[in-house]
Amino acid sequence: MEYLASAGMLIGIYIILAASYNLIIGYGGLNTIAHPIFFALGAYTAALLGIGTTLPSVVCVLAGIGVAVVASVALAVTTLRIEGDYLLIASLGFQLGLLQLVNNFEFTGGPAGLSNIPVTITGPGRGWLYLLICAVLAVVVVWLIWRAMAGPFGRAVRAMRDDELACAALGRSLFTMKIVIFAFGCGAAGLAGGLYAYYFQYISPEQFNVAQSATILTMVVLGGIGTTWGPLVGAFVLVALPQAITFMQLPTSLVGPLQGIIFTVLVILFLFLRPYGLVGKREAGVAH
Amino acid sequence: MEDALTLILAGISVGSVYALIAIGLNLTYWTTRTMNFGQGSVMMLGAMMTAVLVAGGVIDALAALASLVVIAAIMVFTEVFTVRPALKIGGSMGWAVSTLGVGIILQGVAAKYFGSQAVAFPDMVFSAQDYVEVFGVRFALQYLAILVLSVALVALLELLLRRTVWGRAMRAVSMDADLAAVAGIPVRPIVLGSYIASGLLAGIAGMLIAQTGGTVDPAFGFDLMIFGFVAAVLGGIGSSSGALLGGLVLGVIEKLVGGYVSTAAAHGIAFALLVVVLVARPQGLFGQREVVKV
Repeated sequence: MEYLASAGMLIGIYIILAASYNLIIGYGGLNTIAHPIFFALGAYTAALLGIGTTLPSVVCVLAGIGVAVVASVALAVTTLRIEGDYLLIASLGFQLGLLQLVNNFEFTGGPAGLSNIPVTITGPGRGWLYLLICAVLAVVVVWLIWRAMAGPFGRAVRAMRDDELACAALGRSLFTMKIVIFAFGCGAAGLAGGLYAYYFQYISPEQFNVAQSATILTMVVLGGIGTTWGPLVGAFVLVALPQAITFMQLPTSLVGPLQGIIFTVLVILFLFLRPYGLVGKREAGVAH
Repeated sequence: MEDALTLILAGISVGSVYALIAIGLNLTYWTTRTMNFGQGSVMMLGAMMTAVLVAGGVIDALAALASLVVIAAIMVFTEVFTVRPALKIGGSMGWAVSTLGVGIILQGVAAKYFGSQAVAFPDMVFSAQDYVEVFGVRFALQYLAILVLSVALVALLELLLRRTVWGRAMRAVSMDADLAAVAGIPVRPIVLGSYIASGLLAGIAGMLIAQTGGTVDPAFGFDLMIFGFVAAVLGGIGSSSGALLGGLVLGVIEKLVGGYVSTAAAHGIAFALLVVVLVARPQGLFGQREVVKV
């Protein structure tokens, strides 16, 4: 049963990641792929504080969110002036640069990562208690995003995505809107990081590399970019599928390529069959 | 002093290869406005296939040629099955996933069939020990050969783009594909051609870098591709000469930092440079500001 709980944790964490990433690229139209680095910042901050201090775990996770938000605002202020594709490259550079640092610093454990993250909840109900916390937080994040995007702010954000010039001409500060959605999205990724670190008690740099960017992006695209439920469906499918594959007990050398093939084939199939994702409607697609 | 000169020459040589990668990335960016994240794996596959074929007794040139043919086929596949369908839906970012996916698959396939360990890359023209002495400073012949070959390729490509009908057609497509189609330019073959050319450049670049490093493994291409992006951004994504300059600057900085500080720092510097340049001069160090018409 512990296995089910940990699979549920993964789904919950990825729902937070995919939903917040969807806020940034789907609703906001900000093409960054650096989402995993904010996931990493949250995870590493929470883990390092947990190991090095006696602060309660809630404070550590909150600190992780704080660091992710600060880093995201720093990145946003400097790079959001850049448009579209350049932003993509800049975010990639930011992600790989920071990962390079994590890989080389001593206090982050280098490439081996951190494995001595303290236990916070013990006992037989640990997995289920974590799952409950994670589920509640995921619901809160998704609800907040849904709430914000259904209201006037959401309409302004979508207007910005579809036509920046027209939106600015109507008196909206694009820059402020971009920073707000970026900071919120990345803060949520930091939260996911804190949860991940405390539950799995092991983090390493390679969990936050570009393959992770691809995974989260696939979830969003597959589920339906710019929709409320799309990222949830995408996260569920893409976590459940590899778990199902591990049940088939294939040799490990096959698992890596197989995952790549599954991601790619799914995405390509979907581009042909359901171009706007599993739950997306035609008008949900973004016209640039 | 001798050290610095050696490092700078090595930097220029490696930088010229980064330029090849950058131009390869540019070509497909111009025609489809997408970035091919599979490029790194294509580079790796080219170098690795060549190494494995040569180890299996195939003549060097034939092995390289066979690898390039395979790469060209992969690039055609990439365009037809992963980029084109994704582009039908504007703003879906599907191409980012699908090209990355191709990269992950290729990496997996290489690990499965060629092994995940590093494979020794054969000495093709000069060995790492051959050198010439100029003013008492030793220059590795390998680096000189790479530099000459890369610069010649860049010049050839520039010539093709500016002087031939196909080159002009490609530039027309990159400016406005719809208008080019209206003018009777066969857009599809041109786009396919840009992917093949991009793959060939990547394949050659992969072999050249593997030659200087001596080995190649399945994870080999990704960082190189990022360096290609950095070179392209440094020079401004619009131009081949910019990419060449960007590549050279990046190569020299990388080698100097690697030689005097540490190789780990060299990577960090490259990424920092990327972000700084994008923020300060989004059009690139040598590029011209793109005028946006409203």
